[in-house]
Amino acid sequence: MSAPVFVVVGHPNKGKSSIVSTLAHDDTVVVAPRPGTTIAARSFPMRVDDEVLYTLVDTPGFQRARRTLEWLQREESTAADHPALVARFVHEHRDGGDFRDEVELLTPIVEGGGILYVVDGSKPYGPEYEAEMEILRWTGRPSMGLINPIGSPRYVDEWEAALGQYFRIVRVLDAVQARFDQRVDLLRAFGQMREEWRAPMDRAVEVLLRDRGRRRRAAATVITDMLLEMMTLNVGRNLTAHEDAEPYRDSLEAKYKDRLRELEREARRAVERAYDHHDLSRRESGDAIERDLFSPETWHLFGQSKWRLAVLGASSGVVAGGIVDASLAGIGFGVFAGLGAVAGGAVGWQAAEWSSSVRVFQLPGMERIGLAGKRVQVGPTSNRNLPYVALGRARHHHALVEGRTHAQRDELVVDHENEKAGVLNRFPDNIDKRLEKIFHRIRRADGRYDRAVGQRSEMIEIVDELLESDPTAPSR
Amino acid sequence: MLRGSDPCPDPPTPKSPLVQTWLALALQTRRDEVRDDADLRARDRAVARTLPDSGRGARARIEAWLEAVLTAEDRETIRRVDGGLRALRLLLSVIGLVAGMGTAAVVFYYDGSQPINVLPALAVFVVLPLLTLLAFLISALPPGILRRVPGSAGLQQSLLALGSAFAGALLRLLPQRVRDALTQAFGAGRAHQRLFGRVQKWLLLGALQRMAVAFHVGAILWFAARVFVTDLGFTWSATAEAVTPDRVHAFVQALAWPWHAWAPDAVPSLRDVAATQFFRLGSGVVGDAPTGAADPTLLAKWWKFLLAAMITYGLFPRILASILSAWRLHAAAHWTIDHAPAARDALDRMTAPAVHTRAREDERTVPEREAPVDDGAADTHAAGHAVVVVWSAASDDRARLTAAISRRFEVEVDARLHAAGAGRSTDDDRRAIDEVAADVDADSLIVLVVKSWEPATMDALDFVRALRRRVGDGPRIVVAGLRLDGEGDEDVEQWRLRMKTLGDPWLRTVALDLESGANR
Repeated sequence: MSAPVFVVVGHPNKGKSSIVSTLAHDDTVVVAPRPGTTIAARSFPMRVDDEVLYTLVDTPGFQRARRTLEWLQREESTAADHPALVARFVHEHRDGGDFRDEVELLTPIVEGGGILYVVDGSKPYGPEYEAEMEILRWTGRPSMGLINPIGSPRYVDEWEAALGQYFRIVRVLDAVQARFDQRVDLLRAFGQMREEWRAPMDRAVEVLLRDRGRRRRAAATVITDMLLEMMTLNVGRNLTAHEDAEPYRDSLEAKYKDRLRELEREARRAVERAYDHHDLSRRESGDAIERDLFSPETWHLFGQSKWRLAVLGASSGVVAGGIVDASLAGIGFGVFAGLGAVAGGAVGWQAAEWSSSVRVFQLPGMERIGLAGKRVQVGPTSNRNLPYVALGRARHHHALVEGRTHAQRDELVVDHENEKAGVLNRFPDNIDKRLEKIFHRIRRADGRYDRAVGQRSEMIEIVDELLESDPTAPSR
Repeated sequence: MLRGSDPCPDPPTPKSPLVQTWLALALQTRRDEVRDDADLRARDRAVARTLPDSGRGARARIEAWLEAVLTAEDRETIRRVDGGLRALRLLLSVIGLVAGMGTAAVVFYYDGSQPINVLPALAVFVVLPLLTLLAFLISALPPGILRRVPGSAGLQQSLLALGSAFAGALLRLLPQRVRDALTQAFGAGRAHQRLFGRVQKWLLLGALQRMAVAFHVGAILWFAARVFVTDLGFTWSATAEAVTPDRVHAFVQALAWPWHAWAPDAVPSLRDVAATQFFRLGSGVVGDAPTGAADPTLLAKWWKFLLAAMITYGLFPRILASILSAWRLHAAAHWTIDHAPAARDALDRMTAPAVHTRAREDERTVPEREAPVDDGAADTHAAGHAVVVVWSAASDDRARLTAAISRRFEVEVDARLHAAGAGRSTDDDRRAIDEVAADVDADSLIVLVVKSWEPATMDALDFVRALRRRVGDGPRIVVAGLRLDGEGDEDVEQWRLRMKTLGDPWLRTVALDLESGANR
């Protein structure tokens, strides 16, 4: 049995291409306010490896529906002949002429496709649709009425009543705002058009759900790699023993920050690509400089609070001090654990804000071989908050991208103002503790990527869980 | 073994030497970094389906994957790098061998006039190797220890830099194409270069240990050859009073501890040590020999000790260091292959089905239409009366419609409204056109009232075209687009664009509001 084909048809400029763009996750579909943008049928096969599970076909809108119906009615003999007549119409007008659009949209239907008749629920019903629906009824193919309320659902009820007279199944889907589960529900409903389409569509839905998880994991991988890079990044310069390091401090710090920002930008692009958004323009709300990775507002919104960092630091300190106490067979009376807690807490408290981490250190023996005597270097950062800030921002960006349909063509607005502090920087408790452990291990790698990368697999798991449980996701 | 310049991906071979696999992974990682994820997914999924057994281990799958995806160019690079590394190792071995023989020739130089002093020989073949072995051990220290020992990290860095500089100098002796291949394989992108750095470190240390082994083999061979084909005389001498026979004997005993039990002949006794002390005064005085000339067999006794010392403190530790390097290289390559993000990602791509929902071909679209010229209100004024045609039941409120048109165009509106479009047949349209033609003259205005929110289909254009043909040039036709509550002019603008395609100079498109009659 061949895979089902669903032909998306309707009046011009009623959101057919938006529906296709959203269901096919394809942002190359031209979605324009100008009617008649689509001039030829275009197929969107849903393939798993090389197997096609179903195909969506985007078509141009009806242009001369009345004349088409009149042609059919002129040739009519009995109702049983209707499908054959439509096929004859297509055949006789295949060479173009006045019915080019009708031929283009009816061809995949007479070849066995199911019909998805799309209307705009924000505009009222009118008699101009009746000829179109009548023609579709003549094809005798399984069909569904689909109301796409472009911008407003004002006339949805009116449309439901009208479409109900022509179609057994009528659904509503806002192509631009639809959540992933709504899109999947619609695909499942396609299977209801015909009994033998149910199984392939159920399978397609199952595959899409798994693929969604795979895409989220790909995003988690990208974010993990970004964090690993950020936490092990250093930018430095080797100097002779007598050279002054001071003139290099500011430029190295700036270079270091630029590189971190670049890593974030690269990761965002990769996350967008993971969800098949290949041509997404992005805008950060507010002044780009003020809202960048290092702005105090960003750290306030996405970082951990001073208290939380102090608690996390203190707990690490207790463990370290406890080891000293234990090695002294208890004669430390827990003093070292206490000192560790205080020291760790203080370090954590300080880490709530970004601070410069330029350091200068000697390179023993290098001068003797004529290379250098010391190195001025920024990073790898020991700041505890940086990974939380970067992860918080990445999570927020991911939520926006994941919830975005491919019919949405406005800019992606990463708007921090509308988000409350305390939501963006809080992760579930079980994830929080595991994250801190991982971050601790990466910090211990002292910037050695090959050491830090050992944490990659576990970290991907955690970030994946974090993305899955994201409460900031506007739609999923 | 990854095959050479085979352009076609043959069935995977079961086992690849780790370093070659590592090289292949490094090259493939660089190649894949710039490719689209969807392409990679499709490629790797296709590879996965060709693998005979999906239950194979991760590394075996990675090796099979590399077999399938490596380009002929990369295979050639690997072949060259492999050849280059072999050549480098051979070069280092030859240099070590020659250096060992040369050093032994100098240290054990003997023409019979003066005996050989064993103390410098011990310094060169025992103390110096132990010091360089210490340098090796520092270079080999794991990061966990480096963190705890202050200064050790810098020292390791310096030693490795020295080793790299030395290996780099030797690389210049290799052909340019081999050097290019090495540069391509080792000088790569930021992230995976850091990841693959540990393998490079052990490659370097292993090659240096190989040279050290060759050095000691060369020295031992030279020494053994001299012992077996010529007569050598060994003594010891020192200026410092502190270096007494007792102390030298104690030192010798300590050095000979590893073999004293099973090779007692190779451990000089106190008597032998005392008897072989040498003073160069005059023609030379040997120990306590009453005549100043020692027994030749006594002087020859040291050779066994020296040979044992050279093997025990020179060759043997270097063999161990070489084995350690090979083991660590193996472990590092193994670890890198298992942990390299590129390898893990490839495994993920091979496991998860490749799902595509996008179109395979590009979309054909119509080009943007030319922006309309301004068609202002003045052009729509008529001296005569207006005939109204309502298209597709745009409005059924006859009174308001008539009033709005009258206000908008400042004309008298015929009481009879004509209907056409949806809900009627094309024959009805033709009849409506005939009726309109009968009602108009050259000064009349024909107002076609349409719903601006519904697009101008070819059906509407056909009607306007037929109407123009029927009434002839002269009467102005105005397409008046009604707007839905709160809607802007965008829809009317689309109608205007569409109507412009008819090329009718007496045709205008305007917005019409039933309430006020105001329009643009």
